[in-house]
Amino acid sequence: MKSLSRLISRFALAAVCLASLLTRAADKDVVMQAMTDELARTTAQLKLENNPSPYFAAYRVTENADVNISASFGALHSRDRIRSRRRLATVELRVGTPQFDQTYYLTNSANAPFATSFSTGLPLDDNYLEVRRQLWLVTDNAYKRSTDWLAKKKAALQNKTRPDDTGDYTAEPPTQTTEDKPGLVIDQPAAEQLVRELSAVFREFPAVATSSASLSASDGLTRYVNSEGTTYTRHDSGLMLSFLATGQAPDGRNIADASTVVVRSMTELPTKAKLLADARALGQRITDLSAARLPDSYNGPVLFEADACAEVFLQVFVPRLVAMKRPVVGSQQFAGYVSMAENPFQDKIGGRVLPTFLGLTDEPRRKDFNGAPLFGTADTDDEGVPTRKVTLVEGGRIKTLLTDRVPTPGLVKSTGSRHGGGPFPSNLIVTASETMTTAALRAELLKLAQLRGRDYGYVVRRVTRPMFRSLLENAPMADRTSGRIEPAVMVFKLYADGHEELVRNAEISSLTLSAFKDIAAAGQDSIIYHSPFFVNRLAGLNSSEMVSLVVPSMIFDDITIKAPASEASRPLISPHPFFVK
Amino acid sequence: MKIILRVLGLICALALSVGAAELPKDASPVLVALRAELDRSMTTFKAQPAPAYFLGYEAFERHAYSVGASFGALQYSNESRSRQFDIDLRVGDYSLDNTHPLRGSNQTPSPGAHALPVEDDVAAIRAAVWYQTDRRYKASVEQLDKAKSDVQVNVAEEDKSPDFCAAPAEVCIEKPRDVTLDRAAWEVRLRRFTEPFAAYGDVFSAHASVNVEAQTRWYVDSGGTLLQTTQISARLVISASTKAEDGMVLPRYETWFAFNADQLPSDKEVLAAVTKLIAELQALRKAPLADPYTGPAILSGRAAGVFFHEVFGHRVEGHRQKRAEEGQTFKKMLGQPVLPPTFAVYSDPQLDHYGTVPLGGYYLYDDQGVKARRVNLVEAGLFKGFLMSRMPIEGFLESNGHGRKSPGNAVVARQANLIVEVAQTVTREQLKKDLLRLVAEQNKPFGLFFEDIEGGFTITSRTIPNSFNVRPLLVYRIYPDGREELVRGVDFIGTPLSTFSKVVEADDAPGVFNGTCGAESGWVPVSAVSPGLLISQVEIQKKEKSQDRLPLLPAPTVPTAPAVQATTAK
Repeated sequence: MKSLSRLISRFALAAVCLASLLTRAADKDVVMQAMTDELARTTAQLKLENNPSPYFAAYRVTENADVNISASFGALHSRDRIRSRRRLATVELRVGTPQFDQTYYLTNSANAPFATSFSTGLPLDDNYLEVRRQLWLVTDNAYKRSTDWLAKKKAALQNKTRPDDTGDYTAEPPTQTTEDKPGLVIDQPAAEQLVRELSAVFREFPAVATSSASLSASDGLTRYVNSEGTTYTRHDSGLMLSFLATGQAPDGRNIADASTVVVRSMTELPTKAKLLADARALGQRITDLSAARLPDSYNGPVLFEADACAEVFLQVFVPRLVAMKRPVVGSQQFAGYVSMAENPFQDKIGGRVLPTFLGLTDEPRRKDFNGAPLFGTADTDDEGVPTRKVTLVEGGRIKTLLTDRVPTPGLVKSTGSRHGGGPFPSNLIVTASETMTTAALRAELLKLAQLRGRDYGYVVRRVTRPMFRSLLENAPMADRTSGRIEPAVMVFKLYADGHEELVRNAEISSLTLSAFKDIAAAGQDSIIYHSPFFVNRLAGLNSSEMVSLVVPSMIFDDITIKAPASEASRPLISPHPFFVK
Repeated sequence: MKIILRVLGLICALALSVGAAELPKDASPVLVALRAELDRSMTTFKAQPAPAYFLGYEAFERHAYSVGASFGALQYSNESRSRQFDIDLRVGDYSLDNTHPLRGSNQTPSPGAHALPVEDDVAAIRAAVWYQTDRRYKASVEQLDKAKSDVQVNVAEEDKSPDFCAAPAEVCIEKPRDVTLDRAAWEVRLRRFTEPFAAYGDVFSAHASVNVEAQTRWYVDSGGTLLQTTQISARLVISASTKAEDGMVLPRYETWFAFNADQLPSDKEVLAAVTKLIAELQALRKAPLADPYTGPAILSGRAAGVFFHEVFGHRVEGHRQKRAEEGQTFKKMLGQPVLPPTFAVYSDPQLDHYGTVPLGGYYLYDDQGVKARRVNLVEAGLFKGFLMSRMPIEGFLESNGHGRKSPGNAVVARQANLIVEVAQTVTREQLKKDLLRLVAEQNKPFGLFFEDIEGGFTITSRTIPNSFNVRPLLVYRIYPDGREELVRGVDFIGTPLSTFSKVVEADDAPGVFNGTCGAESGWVPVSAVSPGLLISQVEIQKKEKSQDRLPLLPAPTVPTAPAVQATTAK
């Protein structure tokens, strides 16, 4: 078996540096110069008669070069030897004053999101005039819309009082930051061969109906300049390797699982032997699950092993760690929509949200955990505010939320956490002051189960990541009210004699925010879990980035596990052609 | 008009059946995989309680280059290769199957294309085809039950024709062809084509793109048809827009189509077109706004081609005569006059050029494996028939090779190359004289000349008025003294039968429009050819316009613009 290091050594022969396709920010940066010059014109001259000029303006230009390779059953699915390159400019304008501007206003007018951002494509060439032309047009549109919304927002408050008196934008001192990192190097023929070979592994598993392996690499450069004098350039690169496989149980119920590896460069990838073993493990899991039984209906203690525990935190707890400003509602039909998007932790600062033995910090400056890389690392946030470590939960009590420059009641200072449309987590570290060994944790699970008259407890080893939910047919959507999370993949009944019995298609509910207060125990086995994460805010303010979460295994005390209530598909009528003798 | 029929290196034959072991020598592994899985699937699904009676697979490989530039700067430059496949699986029988239109549903279902590996690995291709066929079979059984219920609980259908018809088995294996494009050279050219627009601060968008692709198509069905063909196309598009003081966006386009990138126009020709577009944009900004009007008008050849495509072509697509929700304008007009007796209209997918102009609607076999053929729609002004897929309609029980779709969509009858020819024509000069004669007779202040039309839409359902709205880009008033004045803000509206009855005569300058047309089938390439037309009465209405005012600041650092010449109609 060829090792990955040998594979990588071959990269030098045909390596293509994705970053070389990007314009590296340099002293003579034409794009930055165009941004700076057009920003100067915007702040000095842009004004509609009888209306204020913008009090704040910022340009952000993101530039990406991507490679996407996928294969199934040993054959490539696409052959795009050209890296997909794109440049996108975003203008943020604020009209009015920091105390009261056009943002966070929600109405049913067709063109009125309450975001501040307007975007346009930019040329790939460093063409000074054309970059300025596009910025000019998008800024003009942004200013006219913003001026209109400011007037409408004022009108909406003519006969109302806004309870939130924290203003619309906070002051921050200007910063200048320049990052220069080497670009992401991908040997595309070698990467294609790797993906092809990994996807061919599933030819060994008759129980696998559909499968694929894919590699996505992205190298990004962001330039930012605002009217307060803040500028930065930032490089983000990463590579995700995924394997997906589906199968079917004899009753037709769909089985699906996926495995992902996230690294910063090809050199950080595990060896090919390890990756092939991971793919085989996935094939074996599908095989085992296809033959497993459905779970009994169960309510009681559940041990979420570290991977599953990380996914549970990301799906239920982490989305509540970001501050959310309530918009001024211009149309009553949106009132219910706004309240649905409210964050219950916003009014709970100082209250208990986890057991007293657990704490949680957000650490964007931390580059690794026990030597393993973290992916939320950045020196400044998307507004150029320096990042810092934020203690979110201490002794089980919530101390603050992640914020950007948009103030909310009780949270009027940015934590340097703006990513995308609002505040966003980076590297989240869960710490436990009281921990148990794996054996003790399993014993504790059995003890708690016994108190409920059960001779077994449930262990959840893997939970479906939201990005892979489309693999599951007829699976119910996750639901915050009932605490239903994405379907579990690997769930075991753990008996007193220590033996485990695999069950399939387990649906987990009762995992609401309050269930986190009742976490009974934590293990000593902290793992690092990387995942694309999505914060769903109101229209135009969503964020999607990679986060890293360090978390141990935990026992949740009162969780419901049951078989699915939805209809199962009819089993496949004919066998897989490859396995027909 | 000399018509050139392209001869390709094909092995084509009418075949009774071709067994899996007898696949022709040049058959690709894709065809081998599709054929093997087709045979296995038919054996499996014929034995089910709801047996399949027909199965067809169509796979596409698209090797595409696309380069785009704006105002002299490169926007994108890509090359991609991908494969998809579609399944046509039918349960029930020819008279009633799972594709039977359900009443009350205006939508033709779009089943969605499925990804296929781009590598010629038979096992991987079969794995993908097997899994999706199983899903399609189950969905088809459900759909057949709905169709049976629809027939039982509703009144008897007006059109009792079957849902599907048999077609002769065809075998045509073309040697695989591919395409290459010197992207670096085109990046330079497209920058050059769009750079002149940068001198004008009031031109707010200016884009040039070249798209060159080879589409290889494999088709196999349970009736014995086996096809492997490649079609290469190249399109160059220049588009730009400005804005009038009142906020109206004023676009102009120029497009070129060819069967090879080398046949696209020279830099000199394209730059001349750019100069003309700039002049037209400048003239349009200053042109007066037109008011609603009825009166005589001339459509240039290209504009008349678009007009016929929208107003006539869509109404003779066979499936529209079957659905109870459709207006069925021409269904009862067989043999009746619809145009002056000198007019003929036909659709001919086998034509690859009209004169020397390439036609984008060219193909040899449609998306149901039926050999393409010419269909005469109007002869001597009398209506003669419909464009047919394998979905029969009353009185037309066979396909005439017009079943088309883009990947992922259901096949419906579509236009290909729609051609209007007139036996007795006049010169453009005479057409203008006749226009002014009608202006005088109708006591109108002016007539209209539609030089270019961007497209439009037509409503063929019967739930709302059966009208059309085509969007002219360049319209002139022609006054009795011969003076021509460019106007803006015009939409050409009407109803088809009424407008057709007012077609007076045609000129001797046929124009060709090459474009793509979206309907239930997804986007398919089409062409329309027509001479210029004189219509005794048209109706125009005001065009919808943006309420956004012009940019508050001038364009950043714009060089002085050279003087432009005024534009006039040809």
